[in-house]
Amino acid sequence: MSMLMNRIKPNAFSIATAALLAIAIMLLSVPLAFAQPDLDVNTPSILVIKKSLSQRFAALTPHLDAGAVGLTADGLIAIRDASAASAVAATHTLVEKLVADDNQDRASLYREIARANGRADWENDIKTTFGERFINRAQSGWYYRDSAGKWIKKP
Amino acid sequence: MNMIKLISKHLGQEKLAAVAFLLSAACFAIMGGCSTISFFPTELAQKAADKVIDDIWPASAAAKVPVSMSVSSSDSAAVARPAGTPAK
Repeated sequence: MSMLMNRIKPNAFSIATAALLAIAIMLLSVPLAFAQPDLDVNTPSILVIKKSLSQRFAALTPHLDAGAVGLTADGLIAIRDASAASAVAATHTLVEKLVADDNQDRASLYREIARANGRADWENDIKTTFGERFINRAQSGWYYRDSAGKWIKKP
Repeated sequence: MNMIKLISKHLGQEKLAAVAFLLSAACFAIMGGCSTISFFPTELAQKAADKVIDDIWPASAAAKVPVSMSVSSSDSAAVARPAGTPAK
């Protein structure tokens, strides 16, 4: 038995070889470890919020077109020019409610996406990233408020 | 394998084992640290944002701007630049 143990007893050389092999395997597995799947934006609660935002969009569009409402850099919307709302025959209160409801949904959306992907701490980053994409994809003529607070009309 | 033998000749087997052990311990420590510090995946978030925008804004309302053109909203000139127009 002791003879057998002596035969399979690892010497320093085999330990070194095994350790170097382990390092090689680890280095090769680094890209796999850092590969991340797409963010999940289709959980039941996110679908409900998206439906609500989508349904409200038709009511918001005339105000976005008229410049009464604009997008903000932090992923929300805001009243830009209340007088422009009268041009689309809407009371200020109605526009305020639309904006408040939409912002509530947007805040819930960012929170739910962060939560659904197991990273509640990403909420602010998600908010900012969505804000940028909303502005990038806004229609020509719509207004957006940049991070310095300046309203800009998309050409 | 020959390289290991060559190094072991110069260092001695015990030293080589110690160096390899320390190296692997360092690798484990780095990988462990990296797995706990996870960076925000901006590109994935941009893709997710586009998916959401496609769902909530009708195709006619949303301009199709590729993610690669995405810029900070503080860069007003770049945001205002129409799709496909190069920066000056």
